[in-house]
Amino acid sequence: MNAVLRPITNHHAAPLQVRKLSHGYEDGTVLAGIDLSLQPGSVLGLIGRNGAGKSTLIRAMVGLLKPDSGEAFLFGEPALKISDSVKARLAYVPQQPEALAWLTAQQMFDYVGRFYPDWDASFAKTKLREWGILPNKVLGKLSPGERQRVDLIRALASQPSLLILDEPAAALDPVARRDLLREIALRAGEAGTTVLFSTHIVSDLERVASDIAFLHEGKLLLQCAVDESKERFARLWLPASMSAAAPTDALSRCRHADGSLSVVVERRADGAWPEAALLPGARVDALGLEDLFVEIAG
Amino acid sequence: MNAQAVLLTPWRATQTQMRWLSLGVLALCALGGLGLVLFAKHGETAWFIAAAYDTGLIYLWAFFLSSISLLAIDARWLCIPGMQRTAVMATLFYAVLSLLPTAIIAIVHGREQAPMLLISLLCVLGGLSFALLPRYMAMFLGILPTLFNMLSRSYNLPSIGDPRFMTWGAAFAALFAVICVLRWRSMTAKAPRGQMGFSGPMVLQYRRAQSMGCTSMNGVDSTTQVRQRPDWMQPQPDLCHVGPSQPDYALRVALGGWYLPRTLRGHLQSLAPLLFALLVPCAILLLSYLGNHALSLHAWRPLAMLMVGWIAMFGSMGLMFSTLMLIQQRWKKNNAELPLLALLPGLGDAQSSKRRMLMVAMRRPLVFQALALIALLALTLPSHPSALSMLLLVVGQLGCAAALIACVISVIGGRPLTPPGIFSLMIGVSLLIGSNSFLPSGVMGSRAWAPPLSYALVLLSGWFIVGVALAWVGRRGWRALKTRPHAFMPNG
Repeated sequence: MNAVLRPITNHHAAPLQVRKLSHGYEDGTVLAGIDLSLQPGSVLGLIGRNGAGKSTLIRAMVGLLKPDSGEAFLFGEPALKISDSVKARLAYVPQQPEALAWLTAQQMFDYVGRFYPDWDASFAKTKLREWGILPNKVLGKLSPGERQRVDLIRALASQPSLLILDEPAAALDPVARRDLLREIALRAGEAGTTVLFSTHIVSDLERVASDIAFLHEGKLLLQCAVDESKERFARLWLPASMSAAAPTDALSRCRHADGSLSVVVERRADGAWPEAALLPGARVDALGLEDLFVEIAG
Repeated sequence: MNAQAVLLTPWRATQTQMRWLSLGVLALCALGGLGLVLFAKHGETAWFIAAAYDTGLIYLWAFFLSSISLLAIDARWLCIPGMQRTAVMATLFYAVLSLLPTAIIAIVHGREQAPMLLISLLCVLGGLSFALLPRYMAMFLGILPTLFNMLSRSYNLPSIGDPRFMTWGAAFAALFAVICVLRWRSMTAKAPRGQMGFSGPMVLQYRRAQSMGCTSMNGVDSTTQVRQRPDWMQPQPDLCHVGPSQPDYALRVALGGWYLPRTLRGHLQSLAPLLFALLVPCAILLLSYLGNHALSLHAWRPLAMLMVGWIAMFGSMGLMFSTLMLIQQRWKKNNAELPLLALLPGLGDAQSSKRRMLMVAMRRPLVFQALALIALLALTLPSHPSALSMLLLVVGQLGCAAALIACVISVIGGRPLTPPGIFSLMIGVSLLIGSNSFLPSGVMGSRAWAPPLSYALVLLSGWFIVGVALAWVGRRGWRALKTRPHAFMPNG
C-alpha cells in the first residue's frame, strides 16, 4: 500500500450530481439536458431500453466522455478533473469489461490494489474463490461472465464510497447475479456505499434499488424512490368516448383498436389522480415497475 | 447440389475485395506471361507462358480458391451436408479446371503435356497446402527456394528436363494431396473458433482479414491475442515496481504488448518463438553457404552486415507501425484499460499524466529506433559511404521516428488518422524505406556505391511530402491533446 493521496476536500458534497447534461453523436442526440443527483447511501437503478443512452450518461458521469454541454460532479469535483482523493473513493465497472487481458486475476488485483489506500486483498481473494474463478488464469481466457465478476471484485475490493456499474448483471448467470445484488445491498446497507447501476432487468431494480431513474429517448422521464413509483404512477384507461379528456402531460399514451386510450399518469401534488380518472367509465390500474417500464418505453 | 452451386462456390466463399485482388493478380501474371513471350527464344514460349500461369495458380489456390474450405467448415458446423459436398465438389472441379489452360498451352505449342501438367498440379496442391497448413509453417516459406537448392545439390534432385522428374514430381504431388486431404478433414472436424491460434490453418486468417477489410487498421485485439496464445507463451509480467511511486511502470503494464515489464523468464519466453523461427532459416543459410564457401570470418562479414542493416531499417519501420496499431487499439475501447487508468488514483493530475503517458508511449520505440540508427551508422561509416547514401539512410530512420511521434500524439490527443490515412502512410513509408533497402549492401565493402542524384532527389522529395503530412497530423493531434481534459479518454 504505497498510495499517496491528498486529503479529501469536500466531504459533504453529493456523491454524484449531473447538471443539464447533453450529448450527441453523428446520428443524433443521445442525452438531452439530464439533471440527476444521488444522495449518500442510496442505490439508484438507471433503467432504460437498449440504446437509451445509459452507458453514455454513465461515461459522462465518470469523466470518460466530454459532454457537448452540461457538467457532472463527483463529490463536488468536475468529473473531467477529479483529484486522486476522489478517484480513491470511486469505483466504476464498464459494460463487458476487457481490461488487462494479459494479466491473471491475481496479478490484476496486485496491480490495481497498490493504488487504493483501502484495498481489501482478503476480500478479493475470498470472492475469487467463492465465485469459482481461477486466480492464475489470464483474464483474456476467461468467459465474459467470469471477466465481469473479476472486475466487480476489483471494484468492490477498493471499498469505494461511490460504486458505478454499467449493466453489471448482463453477462452473469442467475446465481452470480443474485450474489452480486446481495453484495450491493450489503455495501449500501452496512458501509453506506452509494451505488448507481444501469440495467434493463426490472427484477434487479426491485430487489436492491432504493431509487430509480428512467432514461428514455435521451431524457430522464422520472426519478423517484422504488416504493414511491408504485404509489405515484398508474395506468388510466379511458373509453373511446372519453379519450379526448385524457391529460396532456401523460408519460405515455397508447390508443387501442376500439378507440379507447391508455395513458400513464402521475399523482398531483395533493396526492389525487388527474381529474380524468373521475370520468364515467375511466379505470385506474396500479402498475408494477415492469409494467411501468413497458408502458412508457414500449 | 447442382452445377450452378458448384460454379458459384468461390464467389460465395469470398468477399468482393478478395475477388478483385485475385483478378488483379491473375491479370498481372497474364501480362507477365505475354511480356516473357516477347523475350523468349524459339521453343521456350510454351514454358514461359506456363510459368507465368503457374505463378498465378499458386496465388489463386493459396488465397482465393482455398477459401472454399471456409464454406465447408461453416457447412459442417451449421449441419448443412449438401453445402459441404458442394464445397468438396467445387474444389475438385476448379482443380481440374486449373489444369486445362496448361494442357491447351502444351497442345498448341506441341510440347509434351505430362511434365507441364504435373508442374501445374504441384502449384495447385502446393497453394492449397499452404492455406490449409498451420500458420507457423508460413514463416518457413521464404526459405523454400534456398532449401530446395540445397536439397538439389545434396540429393541430386531431378530438374524438369530430367527423365526422373515425372517420378519425383508425382511423389511430391501425392504427398501434397495427402496433406490437403488430412488437413481438410481435421480442419472441418473442429470448430473454427478453436483454430484461430498459431497452429490453426492459414485460411482461417483470411476470413478475419476479409471481415475486417480496410476499415479496421488496428490488428487483432488483445483478448483475441491472449486467446490465440498457448498458456506457455503468455507474458510473465514483472509487477515488482508497480505503484503510485512509479507510475511509468503502471502505464507500461496497462499498455501491454511489448511495453509490458517482464521477468527474465518472461523475456526469454517471449523471445523463444522468434529465436526458434530465426534458427531454422539461419541453419539452412549456413548449410547453403558452407556448400559454396570456406568457413571464414571474412566471407561471412558482408552477409552478417547485410542482415543487421536490413533488420535495423525494416525493424525501425515495423516498430513504428506495430506501436501505432497497439496505441490505436488501446485508445479505441471504452471498456478496457482507459477507464481503469482514468480513475486510478496516484497517476498524477491531468497535465502530468498526459505528459507521462506520451513519454511512456514513445520512449521505448524511440530508444530502439535510435539504437537501430546507431547500428546502421556503425556498420556503414567504416566503408566511407557517399554523403548522399548517408543522408538517405538517416532521413529514412528519422522519418520513421517522426511518423511514430506524430501518430502517437494524434491518437492520445483524440484526433487519430482515419483507416485510409493510416493505409496511405503505411504505403508511403514502406515504399520509401523499401527504396532504401539496397543501401546497407551498397555502401558496405571495399567499393562503396553512391545512388544517382536524381534517384536521391526523388526519395528526398517523397520524404518531404511524408514529413509535411506528419507535421500536420502531429500539430493537429498536439492541439487536440492540449484541450483534452485528460489523456485516458477513449477515441471510439
